[in-house]
Amino acid sequence: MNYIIICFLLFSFMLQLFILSYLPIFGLAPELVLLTLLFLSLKYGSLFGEIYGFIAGLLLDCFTIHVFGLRAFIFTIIGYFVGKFSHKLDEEKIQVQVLLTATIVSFYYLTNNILPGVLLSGSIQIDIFKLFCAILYNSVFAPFLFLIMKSVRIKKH
Amino acid sequence: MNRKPTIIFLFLITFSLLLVAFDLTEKVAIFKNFIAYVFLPLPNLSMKLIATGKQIQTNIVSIVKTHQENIELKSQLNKLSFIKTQYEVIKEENKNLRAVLKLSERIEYEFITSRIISHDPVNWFKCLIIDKGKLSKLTENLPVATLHNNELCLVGRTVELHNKIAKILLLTDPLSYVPAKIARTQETGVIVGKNKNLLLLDYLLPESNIKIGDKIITSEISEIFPEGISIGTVERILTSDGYYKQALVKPSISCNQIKTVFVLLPFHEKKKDKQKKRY
Repeated sequence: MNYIIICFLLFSFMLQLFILSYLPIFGLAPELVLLTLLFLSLKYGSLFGEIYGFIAGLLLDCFTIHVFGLRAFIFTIIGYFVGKFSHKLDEEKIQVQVLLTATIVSFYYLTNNILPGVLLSGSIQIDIFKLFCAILYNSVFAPFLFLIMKSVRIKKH
Repeated sequence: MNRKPTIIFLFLITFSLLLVAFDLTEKVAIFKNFIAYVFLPLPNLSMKLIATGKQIQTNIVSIVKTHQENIELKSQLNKLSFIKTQYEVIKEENKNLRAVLKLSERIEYEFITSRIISHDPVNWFKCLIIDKGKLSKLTENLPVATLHNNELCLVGRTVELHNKIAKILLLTDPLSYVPAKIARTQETGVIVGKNKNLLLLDYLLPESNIKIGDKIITSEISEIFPEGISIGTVERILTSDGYYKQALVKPSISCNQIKTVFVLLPFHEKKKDKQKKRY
């Protein structure tokens, strides 16, 4: 993959962690790294998706106080399984983009809450309203992001 | 079937699970710190970006405000330019009429700005000393005024001159007599100093319509002071002694508020002629 992929990763990572988190709308910021992972996995398949997911997750883990390696684990799973649908779905359709985003965000949110609960405290707390808001927010945001990413031409070596 | 992605997937999953399992161990902490160190410039860069964004927002607001102000000032400038044209026309007309009526021309004054360097050590209401003197072409009996609330206020007149300093006789000195008039009714009188922060307006006719709050200005009958300089406002009307009515006037500016003054030096005819030739 060319440098644009690395730029994508760094840019989305930087934007999510250091800018959007300081400018939240109703306490929520879009999961930019997750959405780029979704887009790139759909485009380039499982192998790319899992590696990208692992690196992106590891980067996020370094800058949060969560269990180290947890996001790398979740993002690797997402990258691998979303990559399985590469060239099998019509990802140009907004309905597909929204549906996939909603599924992935739900999976990410649930695992991100359940696993630390199981590993650390033993109690699981899930805020359904926050989950619903996160799904809605990211689902609305995803088509715009995909449109921007599609306009950037990425060459595959 | 290509098994490569699955093998790598399993490897990565195992590796990340190992990371989760050894979360708080020293080696993982070192690895975590190393990654954080590599990407450490990113938060600073992001903070700078956010700050720049906020600065841009402030700048845009400032530009919009400046633009609005500019429009307003342009409109004011147009009005003032129109007023200036009118003034020039009226001035020329006034000059012609004076010539027809054979009236003497009004004296125009040059403003010499000067700083106060000392007050009278014995009595603050008597005189003050300024840093301009004979070398600045000052002479005796020149009017001295100052700006207060965008208005020219009379301070006194020059009395004693040295090369680099001059003494100013204040309005509040009992030796000071200034022909004055009530701006509203144009009735004339004389302003006399009382050695305190009040002036006496004397020689008003008993039937004078003077009221408290009336503005007192210099009169055109004075040989020293130009007409229309603010002196003060009427504070109290004294009972008439049968001959003349008197009033106490509060000066437009208190003598301890004065910082800089303007000495009004009359323009010389030769200088004016030179200026005319130049144009």
